[in-house]
Amino acid sequence: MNDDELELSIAEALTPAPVEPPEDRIAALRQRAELARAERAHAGHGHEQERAADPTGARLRSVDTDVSPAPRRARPAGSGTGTRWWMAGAVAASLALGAVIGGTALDGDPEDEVLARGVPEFEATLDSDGAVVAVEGSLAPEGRIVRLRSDTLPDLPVGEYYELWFLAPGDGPDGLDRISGGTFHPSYDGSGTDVVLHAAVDPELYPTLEITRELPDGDPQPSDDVVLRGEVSLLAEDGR
Amino acid sequence: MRREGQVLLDHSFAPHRACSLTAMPSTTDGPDLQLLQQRDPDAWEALYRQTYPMMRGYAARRAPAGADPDDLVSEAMARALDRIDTFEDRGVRIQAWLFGVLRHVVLEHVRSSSRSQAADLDTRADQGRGPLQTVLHEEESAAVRAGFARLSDDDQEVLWFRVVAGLTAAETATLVGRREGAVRQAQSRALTRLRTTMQEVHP
Repeated sequence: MNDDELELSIAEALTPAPVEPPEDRIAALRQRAELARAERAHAGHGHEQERAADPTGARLRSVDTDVSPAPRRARPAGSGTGTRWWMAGAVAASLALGAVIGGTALDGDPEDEVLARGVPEFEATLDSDGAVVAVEGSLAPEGRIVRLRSDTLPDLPVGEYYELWFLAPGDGPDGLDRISGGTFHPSYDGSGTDVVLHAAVDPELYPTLEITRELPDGDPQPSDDVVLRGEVSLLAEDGR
Repeated sequence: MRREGQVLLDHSFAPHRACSLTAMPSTTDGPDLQLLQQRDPDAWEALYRQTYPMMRGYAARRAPAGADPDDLVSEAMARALDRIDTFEDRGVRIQAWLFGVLRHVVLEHVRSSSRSQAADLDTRADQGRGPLQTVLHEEESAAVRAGFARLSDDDQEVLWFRVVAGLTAAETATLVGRREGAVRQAQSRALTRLRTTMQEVHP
């Protein structure tokens, strides 16, 4: 068998079958592309130059992606394995971002307008293992507007996301008593986290905040992977 | 259904290579770099679908035990999407550049793992062979797979890139950090060693 014949045999023996990638992975990549495109459009050329001059975010992302994900603790019994909830969340997040971006093009800075609609009501600083998230909550006609900001919240593998929870005092291993405040992930361009979520929740009744790391497994229940936890501080009526 | 702006897949592969990159067009005719750099989701989906079998095949053979090849490919695609602005058309196709990204992802996982797995992969089905030819061909393929598994990681990698993935010697040299001539020499030596290992497992 000469070299050409041997190479032909190698190719025949080892060439993988032409299979298609999993649909959920394709969806995740498409979502990442959509977000990156939207962020690029939103940031504009000037912002890109600014980021290039200050590569902190890129450095954070580089460090984060070089680290294997931490082992996950088990989910509660009866967890689902589908992807519909994650997909629904991803679509909702895309729509929400699209609405913000679209609004930006028409109205200037809708995020500020959204935040201006609310009356400052509570705040919290969640701090653990070097990750710090500042939370600001406002009372608005539709519920609470919650803004999360962080430069240190670790990036996640594609498909995974964080979820914010408001916990009642009775929430615990024997029974969940919590309301989801929404899902998010750090910006894929490495510029950190600055997200605005909406939640129909009363922080006086649900005064504990928790951020969990969630897998794209379709399970609507919180995972046991608690990243950050802390108590809200209610502000006086004048916002102090 | 083809979406607007979607990059068409190229399935005009060489007959003996179910999804080889050899027959893929050059960078000028292949995936639209501008669309990719604009983060066009259709362009990225097309690239993902086009390169997935080969990428997954490489990841499955090189990944440490317990690692999901799909995770590695997904991570590589995500990084590629983030870094596509750094890609420059210097005679290396985007598909080859993707292999470079994937190779880094796999190596990171290998470094954090103690052993690698020998994956049994579905390879393409036989076509147009009679029963006897199929039996003989399967025996030969089994010998190749067994012999290949006994090669060093470096030998496996150079043969995979050059013979299975169909990368040029120049592209392979870029990926593995060697000169083109060294890659050709390594390929020749790996073929010689493969003959030996095939004799050992199927005398």
